[in-house]
Amino acid sequence: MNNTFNIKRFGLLLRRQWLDIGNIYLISLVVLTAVLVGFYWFNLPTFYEGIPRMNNNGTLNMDFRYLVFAFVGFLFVTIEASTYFASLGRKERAIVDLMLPSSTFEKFLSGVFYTAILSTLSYIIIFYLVDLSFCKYMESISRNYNFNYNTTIEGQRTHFSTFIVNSITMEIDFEEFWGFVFVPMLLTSVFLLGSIYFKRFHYIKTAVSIVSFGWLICYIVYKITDWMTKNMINVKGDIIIGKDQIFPAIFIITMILTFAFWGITYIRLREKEA
Amino acid sequence: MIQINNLNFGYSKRKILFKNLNLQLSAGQIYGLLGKNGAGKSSLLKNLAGLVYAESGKLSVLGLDPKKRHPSLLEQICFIPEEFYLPSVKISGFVKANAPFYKNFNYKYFDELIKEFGVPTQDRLINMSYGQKKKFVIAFGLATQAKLVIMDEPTNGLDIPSKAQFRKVMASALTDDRCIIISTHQVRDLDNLIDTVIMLDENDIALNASVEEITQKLTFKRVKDLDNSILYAEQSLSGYSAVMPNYHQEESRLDIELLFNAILSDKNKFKPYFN
Repeated sequence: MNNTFNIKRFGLLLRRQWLDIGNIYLISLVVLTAVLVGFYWFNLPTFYEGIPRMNNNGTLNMDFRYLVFAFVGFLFVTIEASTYFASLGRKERAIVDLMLPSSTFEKFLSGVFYTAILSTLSYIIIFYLVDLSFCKYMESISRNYNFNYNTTIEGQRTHFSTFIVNSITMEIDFEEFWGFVFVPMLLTSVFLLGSIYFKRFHYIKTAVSIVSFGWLICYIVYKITDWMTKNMINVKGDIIIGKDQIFPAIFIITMILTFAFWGITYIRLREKEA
Repeated sequence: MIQINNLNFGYSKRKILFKNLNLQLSAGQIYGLLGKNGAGKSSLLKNLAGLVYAESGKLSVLGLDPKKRHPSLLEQICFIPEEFYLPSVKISGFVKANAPFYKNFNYKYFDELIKEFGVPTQDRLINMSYGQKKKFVIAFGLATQAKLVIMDEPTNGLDIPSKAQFRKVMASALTDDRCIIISTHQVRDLDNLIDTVIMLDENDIALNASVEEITQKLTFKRVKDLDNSILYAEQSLSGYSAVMPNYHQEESRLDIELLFNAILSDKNKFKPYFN
């Protein structure tokens, strides 16, 4: 018997975890849907003199979606991650989970699957479906409007016969944002670590730790650069980092940090006592 | 089956529970683990199950180190803690989710135990009484066919008929390749069940002897008057319950509670009898 990883055992573990947390997870998805619907409902473009808010290219202005996507997404994936190993903080629950005949690596991988993969994917799917539904709804409304007059947007005279509703997936240039694919993984990895590191108040303690650590890093970087560039002047002009450098840098840094946090989480799980 | 050599364990450097503890436990035995509150009974059981880590020393269970928590070892350990968690599912749901992890899980035996204990099968586990939950956990644990069964206060919360059922089930659960360790404060619940008594006191093992050895070396009697041969005595209605050396190979029934109190009152007095 392989004591580190066995695909059958891992499958059993995923199934067991689903039987344990599945109901609560599904309820959380319902809550998530309701929250997203609420945000969309209250932020849909209002009509002013028969014209909704529009962008220059004639598409309906639904820019609020980006903020909602990031804010709700952050909360959803981090809350899910910060609850996964939280039960290990309770002695009686920890005994059951630690004594289950499955390797620590499999238990860790199950945590990664449910937090980084499943919660991120389910969030994206639900957001997409809510967005699509509201786009279809706005599209159906658009058929009732016929703007037979010119209007001025940013000084240009433009004539719209109707407005176009693009779903968020049509508006985002994915090629431009590929560097951020590890960001949700990074967020979940930090909060997954917080769920096993802290005994109580996992979410708030993790959030406070991130903020404190973030400030500390900023301060250290500021002080080091200040010390390194003391009595020096910039003779080359502004340093501009193009997207050819910035996206790979973000990708690599977030990936390294994600794996680092996962590594620490695995070690904490291995050392966990009941 | 279990080998402990020079085990040092404590929850903090100031509070040491075991100092150079040595112990060897074999298959085919039911061990009764006794000790005062805080003597370290639960901690010893947790060490055996790999739930806590010793500071130093060697601990081997079925030839493996429990702290590595290898699935092959976890499959062979049935740990029934005093307080446990059960999810909000029915028995069938729990079995479906957990039993496949144990390749020797005996579904038929489990059903028999559930029937014997009278645990309602249609209720959600979370809605059951503490005693019913405990009986369910015991039934599931025994059905795993684990070679090492560790029970911490298993009779807590059981009613009188259930305690009798428990003793019956445990006696029948013992096989040649199985080792059962039961820790309890309610020593009377272990009457006629255990083969060996292990007593913990002051960071060490105060007694580790089989019932047979104890009754060969000591006799438990009711006496009217005290004399010098009595090692320990407690006043009772009709005189004294006494522990005495068994010079004449008399047959007597082990009084675990009396022995427990006797050892704790002065363990050095009993050391010459049990090397």
